Amino acid sequence: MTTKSALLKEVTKGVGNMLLRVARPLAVATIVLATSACAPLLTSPGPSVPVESRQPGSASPAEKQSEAEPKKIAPARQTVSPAQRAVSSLLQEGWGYYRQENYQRSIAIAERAQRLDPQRAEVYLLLARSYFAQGQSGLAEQLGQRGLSFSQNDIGIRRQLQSLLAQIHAAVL
Amino acid sequence: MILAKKLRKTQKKPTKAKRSAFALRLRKFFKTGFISLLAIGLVGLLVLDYHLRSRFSGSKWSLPSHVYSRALELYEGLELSRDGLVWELEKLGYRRVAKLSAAGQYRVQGRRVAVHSRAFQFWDESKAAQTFILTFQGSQLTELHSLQGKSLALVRLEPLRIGGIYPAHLEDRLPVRLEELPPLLVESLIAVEDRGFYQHYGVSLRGISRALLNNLRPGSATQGGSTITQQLVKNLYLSRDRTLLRKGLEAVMALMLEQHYSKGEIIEAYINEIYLGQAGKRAIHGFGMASQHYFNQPLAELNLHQIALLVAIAKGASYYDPRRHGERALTRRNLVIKLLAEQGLIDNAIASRASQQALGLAARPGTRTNPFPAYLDLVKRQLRKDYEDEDLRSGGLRVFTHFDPQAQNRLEKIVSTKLAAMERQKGLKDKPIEAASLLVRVGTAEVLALVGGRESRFAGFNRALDARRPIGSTIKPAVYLTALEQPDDYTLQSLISDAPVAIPAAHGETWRPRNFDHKSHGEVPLYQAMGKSYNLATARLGMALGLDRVVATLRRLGYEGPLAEVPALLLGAVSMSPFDVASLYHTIAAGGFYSPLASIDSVYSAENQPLKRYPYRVESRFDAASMHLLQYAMQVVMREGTGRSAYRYLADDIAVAGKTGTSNDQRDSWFSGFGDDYLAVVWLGRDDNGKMPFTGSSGALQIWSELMADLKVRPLAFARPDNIVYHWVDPQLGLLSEEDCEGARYLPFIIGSEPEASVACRSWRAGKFIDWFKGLLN
Repeated sequence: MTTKSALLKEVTKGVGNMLLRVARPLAVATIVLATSACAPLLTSPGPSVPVESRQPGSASPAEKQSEAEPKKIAPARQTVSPAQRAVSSLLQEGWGYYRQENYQRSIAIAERAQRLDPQRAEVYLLLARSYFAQGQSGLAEQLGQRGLSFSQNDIGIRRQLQSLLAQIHAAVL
Repeated sequence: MILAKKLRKTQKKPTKAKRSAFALRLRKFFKTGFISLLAIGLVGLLVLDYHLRSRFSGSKWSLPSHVYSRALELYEGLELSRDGLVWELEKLGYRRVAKLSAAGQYRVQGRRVAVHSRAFQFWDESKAAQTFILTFQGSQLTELHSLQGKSLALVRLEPLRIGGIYPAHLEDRLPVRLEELPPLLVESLIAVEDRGFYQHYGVSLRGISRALLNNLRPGSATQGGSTITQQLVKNLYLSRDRTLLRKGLEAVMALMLEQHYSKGEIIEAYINEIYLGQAGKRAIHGFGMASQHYFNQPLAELNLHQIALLVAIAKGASYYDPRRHGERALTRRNLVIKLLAEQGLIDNAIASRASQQALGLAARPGTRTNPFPAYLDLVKRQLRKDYEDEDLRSGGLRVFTHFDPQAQNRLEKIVSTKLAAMERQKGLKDKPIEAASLLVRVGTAEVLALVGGRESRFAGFNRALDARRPIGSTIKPAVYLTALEQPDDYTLQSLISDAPVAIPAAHGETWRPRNFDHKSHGEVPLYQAMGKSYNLATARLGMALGLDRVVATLRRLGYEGPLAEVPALLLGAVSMSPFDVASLYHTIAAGGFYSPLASIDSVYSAENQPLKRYPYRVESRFDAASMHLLQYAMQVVMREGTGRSAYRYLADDIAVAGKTGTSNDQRDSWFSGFGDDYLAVVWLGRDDNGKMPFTGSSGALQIWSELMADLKVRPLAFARPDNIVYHWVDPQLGLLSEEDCEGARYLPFIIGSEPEASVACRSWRAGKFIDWFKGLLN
């Protein structure tokens, strides 16, 4: 959000608060109008009575606030998992076993890493490669796909996953 | 020749001959009698020998299988409080000390905890005991390093034994190997029970004669005088009566046992077989289990006074039961300690110090075989389903599960306290409401915790698996997903009618669904129909899509149970268990990848070899883009719709997705939803299917929200797939709009399905002011 729009929001909020204090009923009417005035249809797109929420007691202030202006639903920026370092150390160990062709161990370690951070694309790369090396192409492909869905921020792993998937397809054909 | 001689003799002396014939017959009779007796005896001995050997090796084979929880993985940044760690350490039987000196101990100093962990044979590695120091800040583990100050990336605690899977009898054992035993235990046992153990051949003549003399004396107490071998024979093979025949048989079998097995094998079997107490209906056999029963500690960690107490109890487990007859047990224990000092096994100073110790019993026995019956029930079912019967019969298995004791503890507490509070609030007194719930890790489909009823310690009807109840609106994501998979026909902003509808049903009847508020809401955008859980709009949408397609979606989501293809299905006229619902929702939470929910990680044989299992499954069943749209709509539920009250418990920045469900007449209250890491399903209802004053929203959701807040659920990552674009649109007009325009909403579209034309924008804030002035004028 830009500073300008933040400022504007602050000002609007301030005006709103003042109005609430001065003429509460008027302000309520205003908000009702504001939410329905521009709607071309009679059905209000604004908050209406929820179908299934006959709440015990009255709603808390927090709830009223979220009713008035629900938080925008948008894709989140990918956050770093707190287990990042732990998972990296496991992956290092796991690749070691993979290189030694000890796939049972590399899979066991990758599964441990997956539990700590199920969204780390590299975990799926290690799993998919290990299963593929064991001849389980179907499972390897699915795991590769799953890894791909988490690889948006990791171009290197994404490429490796794509090339592995191509390899699997070639092998299957 | 002899016969001829005999004949001659008979001819000469007839009377003598008569006598001699009688003797001959008698001799013959005795001879055959003796031979047959010998044969019978021999056969008897052979049978006995066979029985003896098969039972002895059989006792090794009937080892129980152990079921373990997940191993707690410790790393910097982990969401874990100091108290959470201490709770787990206590569960594992660690002792809090002022100075670490051995494995199985921990020390707390303010925010820091030092742990001396135990060695454990994991499936993938053999972990040695180690010492490490953890520092906590609030609910987070912030530092993890070794005693020498080296930073550690990851440390794994041993898992908690959550139960055993046993043969039909009610015995529970923790078998121990001779080499793992504290040496003093074996020495004490021999010193107290059978001093001549290494010298005799199974029977001690001196012991028997002493016992006989004593027992013949009238009024005297019966006395054993048995060797350890005889006691083992008695425990393994014979009844408890004290007849002479049994005594004789015992002696013979003891001699035979000594012929077949070494002294080491015999003492090991004795240590694992001896009866040492009673926990309710369950007999405590063996020192391993007794150590857990009395001290909640592994045998290897016991001190002298504790070992002496167990040896004291071995004399007579009920007579010397330290929980019931403390004084008696203490006297006997000190007698054992004195005996050890007399025999020079310990020095006098140590003996006198040990004698001054209290009994030191654990407040609660650490041997409850099944503290988590509902979860163990799931483990057993999945074992039967996924593993070969033959493998499972072999015994001594180690079953590693995904069970998270900390999450289970929270779930149980929240279900019981919250439910009681909700009932009080409604003034409900009679007939308690039942509950069931599952907690699943998103992505790996691991079942972390499970509650099968309100009394979670009670092994009864497992509602989480077996209570199949109508799911109501819980089904709606399947209907909307079916629509969203057709981007040419439906987007989140597609307007659908919420007008009353009459749908022909079976037997010439008409189905007329109603909204919860008995109102119709006109034309509503799809995301809103879902968010507000409008029944009419959903029924119309489902009928337009086709029942068969909705059914197919349910199948792809992972539901395998019975389904009736009737219109009422669209509003949840299908009965499912909470487990079934969790399976469906997991596919949604995992972005369209289906994996069966699993409680078992792996199973290892007694020789630590992995058992063959049906391969792990993950299947891409839905396109990531349509799942993204569905997750958007399910977040609308939480932010603006029927799930809104979750934010009474959750912080505003925690994005979660879910759906309420209420069956007809409020007989079932459901909530199913997920954040980034956890998915939970909560069901409330009555066993007699009676009505409740709760909807999905006012009932199950309240428990779900408190659980998620307590677990500190991570906000949904909600990553945008490549083929999804976001636009500001005016959902009522179905046109593109701009951020600050009135009624504009930021909606995701599958590329190509977004609207092309734009609406003329009226600024939201400007509009608001204009309306305010309009209002003033009016």
